[in-house]
Amino acid sequence: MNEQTVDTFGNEMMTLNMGPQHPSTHGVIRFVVTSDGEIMQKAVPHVGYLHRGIEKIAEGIPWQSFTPYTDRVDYLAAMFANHGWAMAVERLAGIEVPPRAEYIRVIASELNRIASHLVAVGAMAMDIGAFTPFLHGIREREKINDLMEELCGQRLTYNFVRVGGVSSDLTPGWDKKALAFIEALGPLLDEFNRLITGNEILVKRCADVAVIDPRTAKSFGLVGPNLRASGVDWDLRRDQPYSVYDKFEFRVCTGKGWRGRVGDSYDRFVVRVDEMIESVKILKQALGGIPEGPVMAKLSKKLKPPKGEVYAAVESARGELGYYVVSDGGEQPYRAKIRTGSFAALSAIEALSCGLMIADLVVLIASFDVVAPEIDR
Amino acid sequence: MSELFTFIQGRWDPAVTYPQIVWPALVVAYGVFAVTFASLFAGITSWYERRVAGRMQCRIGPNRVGPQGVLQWLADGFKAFLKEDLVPKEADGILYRIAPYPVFVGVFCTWVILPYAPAVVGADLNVGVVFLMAITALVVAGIIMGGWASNSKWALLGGVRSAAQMVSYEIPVGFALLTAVIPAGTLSLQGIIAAQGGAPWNWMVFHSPATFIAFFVYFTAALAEGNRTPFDLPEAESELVAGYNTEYSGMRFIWFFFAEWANLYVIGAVVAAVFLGGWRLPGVGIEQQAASLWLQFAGACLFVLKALVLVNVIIWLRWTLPRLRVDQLMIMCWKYLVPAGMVLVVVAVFWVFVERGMPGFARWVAFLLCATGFFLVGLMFWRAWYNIKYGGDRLYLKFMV
Amino acid sequence: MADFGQYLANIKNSAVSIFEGMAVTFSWMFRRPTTIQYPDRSEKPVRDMIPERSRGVLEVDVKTCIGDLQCQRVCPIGVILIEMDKAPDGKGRVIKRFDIDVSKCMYCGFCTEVCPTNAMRHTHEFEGCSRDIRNLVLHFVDEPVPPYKLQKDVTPPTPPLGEILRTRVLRKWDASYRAWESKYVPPPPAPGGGSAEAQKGKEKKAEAQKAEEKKAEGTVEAAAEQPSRPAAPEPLPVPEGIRAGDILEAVEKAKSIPPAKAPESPAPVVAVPPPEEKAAAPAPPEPEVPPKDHVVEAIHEEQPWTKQLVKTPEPEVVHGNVDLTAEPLRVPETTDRSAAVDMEPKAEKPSRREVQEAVPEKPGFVPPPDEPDRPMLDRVLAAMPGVADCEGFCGYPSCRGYANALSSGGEFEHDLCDRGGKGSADRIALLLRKMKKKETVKTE
Repeated sequence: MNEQTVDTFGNEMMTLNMGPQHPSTHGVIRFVVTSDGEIMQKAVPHVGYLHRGIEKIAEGIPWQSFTPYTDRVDYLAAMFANHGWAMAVERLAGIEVPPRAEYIRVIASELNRIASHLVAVGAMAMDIGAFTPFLHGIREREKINDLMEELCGQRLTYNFVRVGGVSSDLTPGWDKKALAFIEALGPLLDEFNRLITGNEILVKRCADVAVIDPRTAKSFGLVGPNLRASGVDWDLRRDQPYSVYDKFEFRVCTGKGWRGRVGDSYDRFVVRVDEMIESVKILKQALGGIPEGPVMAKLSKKLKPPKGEVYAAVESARGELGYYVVSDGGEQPYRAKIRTGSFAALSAIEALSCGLMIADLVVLIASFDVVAPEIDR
Repeated sequence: MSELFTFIQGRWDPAVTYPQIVWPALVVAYGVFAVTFASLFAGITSWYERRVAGRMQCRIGPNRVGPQGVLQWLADGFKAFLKEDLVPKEADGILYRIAPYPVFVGVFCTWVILPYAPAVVGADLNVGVVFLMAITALVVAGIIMGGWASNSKWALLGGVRSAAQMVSYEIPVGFALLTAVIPAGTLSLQGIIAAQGGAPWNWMVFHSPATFIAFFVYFTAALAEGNRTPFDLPEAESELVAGYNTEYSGMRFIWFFFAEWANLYVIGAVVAAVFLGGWRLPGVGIEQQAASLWLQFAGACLFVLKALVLVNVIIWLRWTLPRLRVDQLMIMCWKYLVPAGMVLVVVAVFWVFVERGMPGFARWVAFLLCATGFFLVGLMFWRAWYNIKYGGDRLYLKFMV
Repeated sequence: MADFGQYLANIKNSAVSIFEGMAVTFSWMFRRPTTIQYPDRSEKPVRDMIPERSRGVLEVDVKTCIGDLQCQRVCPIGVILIEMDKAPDGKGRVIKRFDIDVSKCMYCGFCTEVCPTNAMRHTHEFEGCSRDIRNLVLHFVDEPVPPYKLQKDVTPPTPPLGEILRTRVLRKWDASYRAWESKYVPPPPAPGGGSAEAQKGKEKKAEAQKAEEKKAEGTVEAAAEQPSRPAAPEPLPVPEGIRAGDILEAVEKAKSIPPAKAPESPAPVVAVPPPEEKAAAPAPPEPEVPPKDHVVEAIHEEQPWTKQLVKTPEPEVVHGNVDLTAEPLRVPETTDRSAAVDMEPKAEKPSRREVQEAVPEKPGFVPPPDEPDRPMLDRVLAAMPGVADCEGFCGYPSCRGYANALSSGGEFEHDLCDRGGKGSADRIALLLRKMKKKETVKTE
């Protein structure tokens, strides 16, 4: 793919700096675009603008205190980052999580997945030029944020899933509110599909743009919806079940090449829309079958996991979000490494960008649903 | 405008006052009127569009400055007016500074031929349609100047996109207008209006299948010429930052947008004049309308109303549709609209014979097309109602929020 | 031919999908917008729409702080700074400083979870904008406070959420709050209108109501104030129900009010005459807000360290006290001004200029000598008369707030103190000029 070049008819190439301040780079990312007019030869992503050294911070603070920092790994889907960290520490220290806490984790995570995907598809539509679908997505996401605020106390940086359980139980009546919301979400998603997903202009803009075949997708380490859109049937929730996901019935959505080839940008769009519908299914099952009991395991205040290392991964809205944690038996982690989906996706852009138009680059970035803090951490 | 003078020339000796006093005074007065109307329209539309967009996006929109926010545009304009007139260091200063004016002039000159009533028109040119196409081409010049002189790559891309787009879309615009010109038999806008009738089934759009499709072709192509979504590639925000006006700020930036919003009205007015019967009142003959000042006024109101409805449609489209890619834009023009335009012209010529040979059949087709048009409008309302019901919502008719 | 079919299908798809999309946007023209018009046109104040668990800006009630420093230890970024000190009388310890740097806080909620007495809380306040980041360091201790003693079966009193914070945050820039205040908070009774007695009664009633609502348990303070109860004009219906805010105010007041025995204390309406200890201080006798409750004295007696504090002739201390006894924003002016200052209460609020001309400086106010080694905040505070009955033209809830804003550079107008008049303005200008020359700003 890299060897491919664009016939420039003997013209000079133009170097364009797209970002870090550009309306459609989704945060502070910079692309150095080499193009012949509208047609790009390559777009090289430059990262690091949002590097905060979260992994280094983890080495300096107690095990439980790192949770608020994981909120900042991915501000659109903080629950997954919390969950991953909690899982890693629990596996290291051998903590048993109460079943009710696991159910609450799943409920919160799936709500968060819907919220994140709503932003993803809305932002993609906005990058393609339609502003209204974005705000319709945001409208629904605000309702989720309200639910989350009632449950966790915050709208984005939840700090909810803690080591050993969750920080607080459901408030009375919360499950009814959540059920009412997901009941109403179905028709509104249909409306969203009528508004934008079926729109022929959007289809033409996305179909057959930046096609990733399954082999390439795997070789770049793509995860989550980006991988599934390429036709690879892989979902951690089903294939490496963690928490209580093995108790729920749901379908893993893969790209089918609806309006073009399998693995194009339109597939990535539709897979996200489909996943929202699947999340609604999981939520209905989880809210219906939530057991009674405590929401937090009994823990000592100063946690000292035994020496060892562990890798725990969750299926985040942006794919596999893994924590590789090493403990030296102390009060603080010896090393923590966070593996995020956006970074892998961004690395694929350079190879995919050859021959695309500048307008397609915008579609490509949006279809990967990259979130800048998740890239840099 | 000579008809209007017949009202007033009885008082003076026409041989002396007409060419030396009345004519120049009227020209100046009309010029002042046109520019004032255009500016006011552009300003208020900028507010109105934001309100409409707000409601479409489940928001409210600007409603603080003045009652319901109507003075928002004044506040925005005043703010822009007070901003520094920046010229980038490496920019071509002269070109950069004069670039907004061709855009402005190109749009505002179309007011010369916009017909409001049988007697109220700046100049009833016998080449009116050609003048329209020629004068709007000035806009391209301004945008290219702005894009080139900014010495910014984003602006340059926007300018070049704009040049390709506007020059290409002149052709479907021409074909579509020609389809309407053929049955009317004249290039003058007043003549085209006179060839139509007041009742909807006498409008040019329902005259024949060719003009029915030409209406959509013209509307689409005019949107592309006016840089409106889904054809707003020259200023594509998510791709080119702001396109040709990336480097502009303050009042010069506002000139570009004044022209854009004024252009909304131009598109609406031309479509209303050429396809939707212009100032013709149902059941009133031309002579009758020309003889009465009140009927003329009513006709002007109807004309503006039709134009405003179309402006609404343009705004509505903008807040619904995504943007095309630049190659798809060209495909749309050269593979769809231009061939369609060619076929339409042929069909229009053919229809002239149909009309003469089988007037009853032609009349029946006009009624059918008219019914189709109203069916589409009704269908839209039904779909909207369905959406409200399906979304579990209730009708909410409070617009003053 | 297949291509041509595709060609036609493209046209059809475009037309149908665009039509459908337009129907959706059109339908939203006739549906209710989901947004609310923050901050001033929503049905309720946004603060009241926030869910119970919502984590806003931190506040701490130092009266119930047990001083175990757990919050300071658990905070991942060191937002909280607590300093403990030995009590002046040598017995036990006092909390000397309790600062929360709101600008650093990431609202994780760890500190509130570890607090055993619920003294540390997340309020529902979220509008913390300020002109200077240093203003966001909130100081919660003005005078050293003894830590609260945890007892079994006694729930520590909790003041209404956010009340303490609101007096600490600079309300000057909080336009939205003011809009709400004018709309939702009942207007204060006219200063000259109702007699002080009536006002007092009203307050009592409100207090009793609140107490009933809260059904507060008997507190240490409540138990302590029982003996003094008979001295009050009318006993409270629920004797143990003390509004926590009152206790706060009372304790604050206790520091500046002479340590008199409860039965000896005069009728609550009359201003307390300056006792000998007070006279020794360089600050002049000041009109005090009449004690609403005799809790004041009771608490005062219990805690001898306050006596010592009042005795020490520190002008800064007095100022700190006075500004805190000044009521927070919405509470009406209850002081009978004529008792202390020979001035008729005006029917209308005079303009700042008028006041400055009419009362160039508070009569009898002698500014304490400037002490260059003190923090700038205290020096600025000392330059102001710090009376309780000022008109509040500066727009700050307390003199300390104004002084804080001045000394940290958040406020540029140095002549806002109406009771200080020109004298204060000049002194403050001098101080600030010195400050500019020598950066001696100490906000922490």
